[in-house]
Amino acid sequence: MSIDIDVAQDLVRDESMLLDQRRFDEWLKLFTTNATYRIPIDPNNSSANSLHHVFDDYARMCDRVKRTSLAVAEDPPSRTARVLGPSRTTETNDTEVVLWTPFHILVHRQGQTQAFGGSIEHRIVAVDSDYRIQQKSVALISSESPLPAMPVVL
Amino acid sequence: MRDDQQPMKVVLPDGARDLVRPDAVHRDIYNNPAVFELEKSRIFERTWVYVAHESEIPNTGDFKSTRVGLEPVIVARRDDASIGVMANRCRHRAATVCQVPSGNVRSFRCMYHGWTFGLDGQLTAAPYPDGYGELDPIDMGLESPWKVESYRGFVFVNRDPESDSLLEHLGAATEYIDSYVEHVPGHAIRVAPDAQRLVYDHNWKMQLENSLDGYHANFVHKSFFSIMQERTKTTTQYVTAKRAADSVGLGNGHAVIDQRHVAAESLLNRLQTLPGAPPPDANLDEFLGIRNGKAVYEATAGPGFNLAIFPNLVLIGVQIREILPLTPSSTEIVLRPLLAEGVPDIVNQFRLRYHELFYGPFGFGQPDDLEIFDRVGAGLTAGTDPWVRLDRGLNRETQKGDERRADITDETPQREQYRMWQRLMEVSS
Repeated sequence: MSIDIDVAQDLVRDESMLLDQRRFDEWLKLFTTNATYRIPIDPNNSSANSLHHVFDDYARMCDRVKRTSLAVAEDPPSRTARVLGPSRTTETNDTEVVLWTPFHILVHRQGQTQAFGGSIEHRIVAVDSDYRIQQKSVALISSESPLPAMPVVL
Repeated sequence: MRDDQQPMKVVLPDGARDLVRPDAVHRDIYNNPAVFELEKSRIFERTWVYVAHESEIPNTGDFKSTRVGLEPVIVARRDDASIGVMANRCRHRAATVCQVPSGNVRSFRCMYHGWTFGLDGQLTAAPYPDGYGELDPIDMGLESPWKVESYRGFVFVNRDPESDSLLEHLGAATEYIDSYVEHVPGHAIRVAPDAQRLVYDHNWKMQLENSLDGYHANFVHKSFFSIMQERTKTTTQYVTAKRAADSVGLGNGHAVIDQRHVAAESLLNRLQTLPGAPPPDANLDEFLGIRNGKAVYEATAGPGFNLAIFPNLVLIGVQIREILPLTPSSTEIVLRPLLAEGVPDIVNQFRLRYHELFYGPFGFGQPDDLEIFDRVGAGLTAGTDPWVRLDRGLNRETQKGDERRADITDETPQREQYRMWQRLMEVSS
């Protein structure tokens, strides 16, 4: 049995929807409990030896979600609107698939709307018929430039 | 000449003296464009301004581009291993000759007309030179109107030829710089190859002040502390009203807040939350593959004090932070975490993960500071009271020579910074 790309692509779209709808607890359930979420500074280098904006293990992802309701910088909360481009499969085998998806996000807060974009790489694993995100890495085109406070999940 | 063709004259509304009181600062210091204009010459051309750490440019031809005040500059490692600081401006028609934040080159070429400059700034080529009588390579080289001096790898420039030496200027702050660069026992430090850059909508001095504000943490960073307490199953407060911690004005605008006595436990607790952190009973020599593993690992939480060197350098957490003004009401900050030399990768991975936990645009702490800066910027013009209070702890501050000392939540560091600001701003040319 090989992995079903359509199911994996739906997972990527579900993830985006849950984030925009601020359903963060449901969002966490899309990931394996040893998942990682990363935003490197150098979009081409997400090695553990290089500096990142985000280098979360699952526990830090859970903490990040807690901050969305506690942080001063999220009072009042941001609103986000994501547009995903068509995903491309970059690696695949029987149990996992890597999808590359271009994205654009608008972040609105306190009367200001800011735009960010880039691509997201999802490594999705299938355990039986259960699909989960094992690794999410965001290549932000502006990651090396001055960024404002970003208390949102990309 | 008609009136409107005369150069704009900068006039402060009440004079710099009247913008700083011993217990408060006037809102004009943050949002008056005339004050900002004057700071360009009176602050950033009158005192030592930090430009780079030597480890950013270890090899010949390595360079970094940054700004001194608002002026774009290049800091480069020359052939003789010395460090040069040059204005990033072609001597022909003024285009910048360097377009990227860092790299390695043999020369800087202006792509407008091809003028080329060596690592020492000298003009090495100008296309079709027969159109000129004579082009002196030094006279027409990239300008370098600064004195350049360094201390423990920290490189500063000063436009004022008459100024004190860097060492005299740093004064009592050198002791803290020493502790900072020596905080990993047995290992030298260097900066990480990448930097986090942030921007916020308020004056540059807001970041300088807040880097040494021991009063805000329990409020602005409440979410961070509650998350850390939950993760580490502790109830330790980061800062308490205990009188064990100090804020110290060191003279010349430099100051420190020293949490080593009160926050050491809280800082070490955070290490438990790092991805892949060693279990509590781990033998750290074996886990990290290094001798003196426990001490090296504990140094991941940094030296435990925040030091601000007036006007634009902060050592905080495990990072070098540069403050770069953009406009009166916008500022860029650059963060470079410090790594240890001669250690297995895992040691520095923990240092990076420790830094990323709190700092940067996506960190669990810094976005909340930037949010507060925005709120201060927004609130500043409201009401009739133009004064922003900085009098906390005046009743218990002690003074010995140039050193002033009070509790960690007191505004002693901010008063130190504004005494220096006032001293520099008052000096007219």
